[in-house]
Amino acid sequence: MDYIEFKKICNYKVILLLAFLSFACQEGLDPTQNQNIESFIKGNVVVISGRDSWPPVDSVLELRVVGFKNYPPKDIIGEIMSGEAFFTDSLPRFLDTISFNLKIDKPPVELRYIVCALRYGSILEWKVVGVFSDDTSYERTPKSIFVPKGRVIEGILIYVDFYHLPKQPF
Amino acid sequence: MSIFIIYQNNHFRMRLGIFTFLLVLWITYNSFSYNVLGLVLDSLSSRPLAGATVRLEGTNYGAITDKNGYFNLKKIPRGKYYLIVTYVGYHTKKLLINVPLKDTLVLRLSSRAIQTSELVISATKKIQTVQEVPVSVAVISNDFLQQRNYVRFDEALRYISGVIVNKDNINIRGSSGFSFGVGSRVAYLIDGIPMLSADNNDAKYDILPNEAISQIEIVKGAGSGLYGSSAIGGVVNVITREPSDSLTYSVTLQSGVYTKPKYDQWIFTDKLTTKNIFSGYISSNLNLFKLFTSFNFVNDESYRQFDKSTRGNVFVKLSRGIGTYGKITLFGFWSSDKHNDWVYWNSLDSATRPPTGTDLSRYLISSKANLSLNAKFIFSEKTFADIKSSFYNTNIETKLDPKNPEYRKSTAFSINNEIQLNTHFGNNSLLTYGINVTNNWVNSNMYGNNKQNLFSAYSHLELNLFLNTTITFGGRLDYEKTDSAVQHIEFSPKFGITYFLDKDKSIRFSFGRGFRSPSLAERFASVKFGGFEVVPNVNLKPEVSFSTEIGSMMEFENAFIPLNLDFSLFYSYYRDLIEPTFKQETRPIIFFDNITKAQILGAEILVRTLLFRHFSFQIGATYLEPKDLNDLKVLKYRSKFSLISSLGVQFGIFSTNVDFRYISKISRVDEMLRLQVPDYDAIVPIYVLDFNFGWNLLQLKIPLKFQLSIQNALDYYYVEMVGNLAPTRLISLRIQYFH
Repeated sequence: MDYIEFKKICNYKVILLLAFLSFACQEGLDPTQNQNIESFIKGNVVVISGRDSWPPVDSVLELRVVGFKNYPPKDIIGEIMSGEAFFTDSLPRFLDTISFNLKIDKPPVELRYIVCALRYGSILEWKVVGVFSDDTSYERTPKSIFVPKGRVIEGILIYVDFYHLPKQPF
Repeated sequence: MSIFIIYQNNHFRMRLGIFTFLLVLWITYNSFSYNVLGLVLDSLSSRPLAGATVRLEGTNYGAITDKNGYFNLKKIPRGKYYLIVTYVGYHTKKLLINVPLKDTLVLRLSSRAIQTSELVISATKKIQTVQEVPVSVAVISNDFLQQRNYVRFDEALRYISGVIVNKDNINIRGSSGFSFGVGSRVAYLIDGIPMLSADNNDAKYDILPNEAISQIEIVKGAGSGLYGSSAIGGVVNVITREPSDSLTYSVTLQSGVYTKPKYDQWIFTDKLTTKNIFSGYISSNLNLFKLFTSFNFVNDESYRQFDKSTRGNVFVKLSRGIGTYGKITLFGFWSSDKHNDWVYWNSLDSATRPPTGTDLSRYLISSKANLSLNAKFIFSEKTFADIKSSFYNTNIETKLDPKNPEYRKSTAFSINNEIQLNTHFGNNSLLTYGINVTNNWVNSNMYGNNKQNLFSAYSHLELNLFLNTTITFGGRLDYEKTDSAVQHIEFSPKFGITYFLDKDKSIRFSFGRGFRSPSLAERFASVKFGGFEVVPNVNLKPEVSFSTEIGSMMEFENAFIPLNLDFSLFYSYYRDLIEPTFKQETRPIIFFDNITKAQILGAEILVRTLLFRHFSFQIGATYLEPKDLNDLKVLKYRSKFSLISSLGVQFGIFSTNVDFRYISKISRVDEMLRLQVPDYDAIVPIYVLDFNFGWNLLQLKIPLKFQLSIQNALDYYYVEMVGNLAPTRLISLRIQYFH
């Protein structure tokens, strides 16, 4: 192999090497990559007892959908404060169907108890008016949902019957 | 009258005497046997070619050329034969000879631009070139291993097109996903003898020192028609080195360091961690028998915290000729290792650390031991026997108080016996048939005390037809009986056809069935480990596959750039696939169950070429369309696209090899893993680049080789198994002294 040929080969080698490097320019896994990737669950609160069944205006101060990691929640306020529960902004009231969009800050997470909660008094006075469940009995056994990272889970329906409220967790 | 009678009697006796004489002469003439002497040379340089394979087609006669290129085929009956000479890197030569020969044959082989004529035995249980077999077969040579600083030989499997290694799990063309390390869907053999452990049916790829390996053959596609249970996705057959005729030995020292990770979160020590290997071999002819023995000792401080391991291996092989063509070989190995005992990372942001709360004093000790006997001898000119018998023992034990719920201990034994016969019918057909009995039993606190027995019989016929066509067909019947499980019988047919367009171009087609009997671990496991709890399922059925392939191998040696092209299209259907299944949605309790039907459609291309006469280059790509037929989604844990490439150059005493592999991101995993594996979905495509630089000082009459290797040179971070950071960059230097 003479010098010119070897030089030619080396040039060729450099080109191939650069091609390899360009393929592999990504750095792969990053310890921070799984942080701050939000997920959402979307759905509707359906008032099956009808629009007229809403309680009086002075006892429907606020309506939110709340997802808890634990069921039953041990300390509702504590869980909300420590990030063990996720909740929507205040939702419209006195409608048949109310759509909601619940942001999950730190997925993946399993939500074992998703409810529609109504504030009827002071900031700490809440009651559950609907539970996400497959169970049609009074018990309304909650259904779990796993929320992976960066995903939107749609079609969540929470039925509310103001004449037959579900079992309260507290 | 009496005179007449006497005359007649004398006349009769005389005629009888002449007839007897002629008969004896004819028998004697035909029963004479002759030696066929020959010399095999390189056609250009007239250099003798040592180690070339010489055989008479349609018979059992064969020989290997000695170090001076000579061969001697002994006791060959008079007649016409086709003599075939094959040698890696050279064109195969075939010529008609008429025995007895007057002179020594001189055979000149012309070299191939690209080395593609590897001889393989795994595809049909007989020695053939890769071009002749009707299925896709890949070969890893000892040279390939020697030119890289691999510690375990499965590291080399990552550079085979269509093969993906997921920790200890070999996945050929998408056949395997993630199975917690049990139930290999690839039959794993050493010199044709099954080596799956009796309890987990898993393959231990660290049981042999690399020095003990001559070549590794990888058969792609279902192969239960020949190899029975486990050959559902393919076969990996490790061929060990033969003892040499003269004294040879080698001593090797290898030392490497893991470079520090780029991210502070992953740095767990101020020091650089190391990986050191001491290995060697010796081979000699001791007259009574020939000996090859090798060993290695590995101390790996790991790129992860509390992940240290030490391992020692010894391999011994003795062989002795029986008669002219018979041979008896006894080999065995012993391997022992000790390593820390945790599986999944703490989380992605602490991926080099064990889960919080792991008992850091806890470690696992395992050992494997094997003794195998292989006898080959000729019954007659047309019938050849191959008898294999083997004993294989595996042990694992966690160093914990036996009362601890995570204490694990298992001792498993496997005895395998096989008699295989090959009978030639004329020059054009070969019948291979045999029986095989495997007995597995286990004593374990995880799997109970259980036994599994497999009885098998197989047969297949190879017909060499006109128009350069070879057809093989046959099947294998397996009967399994396992304690407290349902007995079952499996029939696995196989069919293959190879058609040569000319000597450099062939087309192949094959169809085969594969099955895998559930392992004792999958049926009887009752264990807690790594946060998971595994419960038994004795009702497991065998999983089954059907695979078919059409392919072509073409060589364009005289083109502007010499090119070898191998292309294949394949389809596999699987039913009753056994998958680890979560019993509940809220707790990590799993059991193994037949849950999935699946199909995989794919294509594979491998191009090998020689650039500027000095660069060897190969690139292979595999595309899969894996579909779960239960939910019509992508099959879990499968990548759709993979690519491998290797570039090599030899320049005087220097050699360089650059290897690259890409595997597309796994698009679907079992989301229930979230219950126990933090950041189980942290998965990225895989890009790995390895550099290898070698200096062989033998040309300077110094018996030393140096090999510098940078594995994962780009320090790319990825996982092969969920929740497990794959090895980071390792720079190592190997020094080998040899004789």
